[in-house]
Amino acid sequence: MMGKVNQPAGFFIRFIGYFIDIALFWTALLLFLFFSGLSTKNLPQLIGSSIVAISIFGILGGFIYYFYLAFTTSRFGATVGKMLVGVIVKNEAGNYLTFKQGLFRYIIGYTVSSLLFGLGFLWIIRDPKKQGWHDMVSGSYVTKTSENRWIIGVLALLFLIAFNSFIGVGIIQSVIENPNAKRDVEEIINQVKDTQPQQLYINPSPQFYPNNY
Amino acid sequence: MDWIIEIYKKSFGIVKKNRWLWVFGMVLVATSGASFSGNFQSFGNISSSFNQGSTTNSGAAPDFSIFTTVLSSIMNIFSQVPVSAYATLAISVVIAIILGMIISLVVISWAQGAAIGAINDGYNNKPVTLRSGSLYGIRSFKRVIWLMIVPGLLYFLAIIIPFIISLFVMIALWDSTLGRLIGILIFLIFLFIMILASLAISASIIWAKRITVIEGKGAYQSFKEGWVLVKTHFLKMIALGCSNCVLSCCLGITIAASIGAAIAAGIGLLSVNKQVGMILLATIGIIVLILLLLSLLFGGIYTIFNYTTWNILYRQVRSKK
Repeated sequence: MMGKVNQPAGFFIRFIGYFIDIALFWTALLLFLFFSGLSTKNLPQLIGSSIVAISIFGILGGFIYYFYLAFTTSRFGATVGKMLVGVIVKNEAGNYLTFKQGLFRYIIGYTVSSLLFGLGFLWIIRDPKKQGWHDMVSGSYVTKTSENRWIIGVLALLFLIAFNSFIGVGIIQSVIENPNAKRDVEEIINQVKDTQPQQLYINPSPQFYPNNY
Repeated sequence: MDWIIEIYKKSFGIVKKNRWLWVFGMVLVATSGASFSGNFQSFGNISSSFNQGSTTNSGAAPDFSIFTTVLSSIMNIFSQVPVSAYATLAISVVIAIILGMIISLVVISWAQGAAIGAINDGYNNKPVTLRSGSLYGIRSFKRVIWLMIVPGLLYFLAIIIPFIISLFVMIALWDSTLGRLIGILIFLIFLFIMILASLAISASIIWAKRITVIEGKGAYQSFKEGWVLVKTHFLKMIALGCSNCVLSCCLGITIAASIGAAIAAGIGLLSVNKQVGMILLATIGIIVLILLLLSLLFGGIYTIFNYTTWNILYRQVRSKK
């Protein structure tokens, strides 16, 4: 776990880096929801911003995420998560991956590694070169850039988890406390309540609804 | 039939020796069929949960007034949602579908190229690795995509459209007896040509993929050479294809029959000895669960075995040439 610089990075350190990237993606989504939730005036606007959030992060999220992974890996040699834990991704020639190689590593490589309950990712543990199946198919190597950076990674991950939870609570509060949205919801509830007697009339039950109904 | 048994023996040996091939087989299985079964499964879950919901309310008389009110209120709110939100959703869905199709096409063609190339290395007694196979896939995926799309499209234009026209001709001539006979004859001729052409094109694609991956030739050139090979070795291909189908059926029936027999034995034992029966049924349940969890692995191994048989036949045919 705490090996020397330029040596292959192990499973644990890469696992943390991976989760930092995931947490960052969630931070972007939650921040978007938070600010759009604050700026909305009523329920339709809130629903509208939710639809936009679902479109961007839910439907296109996977593509944006892979684009981010490939771009940062080709430009800086690592994603933000990997940078924080102090690892770098290189190709067989010892250079940064090209953008195409990055896309290949993350889209096709991750597909291969996720087979059989992620056996390809777990392969890093037993492989002498610490290569997962995604590294093998794309010809990439993940090495350490500095020692003991995993501590910073763990702290960053914990911070992101706490931050995301904080924003998540903030979003729920902003939705609950939005007076206009609250009014719209109450209106629907009132409309439902108004229809209740009609329902009771359709399904009469003698012991509960006496003659005066 | 001895040559088929010989191919099977060789194929089994290659698949057993080179375990990295199994990974390519699993990718092929996962990218070609898993998504469809998953969709239907989720649809089944949705429908069953819907049915469950309806049965729990079946005691009361149906009343839609609340439902209508809630629906109209929700519709009213959704009608006030800015159009730009719906536009973003629609654009996102279209982009996602297009990108998803492109990605799945690339992954499938890469996996096919990688599998064919890696099997060829195994056949030549070269070491098979994920990287060596992957390089074949990377080098040939564009040509494999061409082979996956263009011949099928040409087939559609060259066969299906005349077939539809012949169908209309048959309907138009249906009034008189002679016209009916001519119409049926034209229809049958086109049907025969369509089936034959479909088989020939599928067989050509099988060869063409191997030519383009192993020999590195262009997609069109490979298809042409594949077509020539089909003309000379069509019956052999049909024999191997049918044999592979029979093998698949036998395997499927054997697995299903073994599980069925074990369950029947467990139920039978249950009436004689409850404890032993329960233990047997639980064991069968665990075995079935393991089989289901590892179905991707078994499917992958079988798929790669199938690919290997075609590769071996291709090598035999090519070496004769």
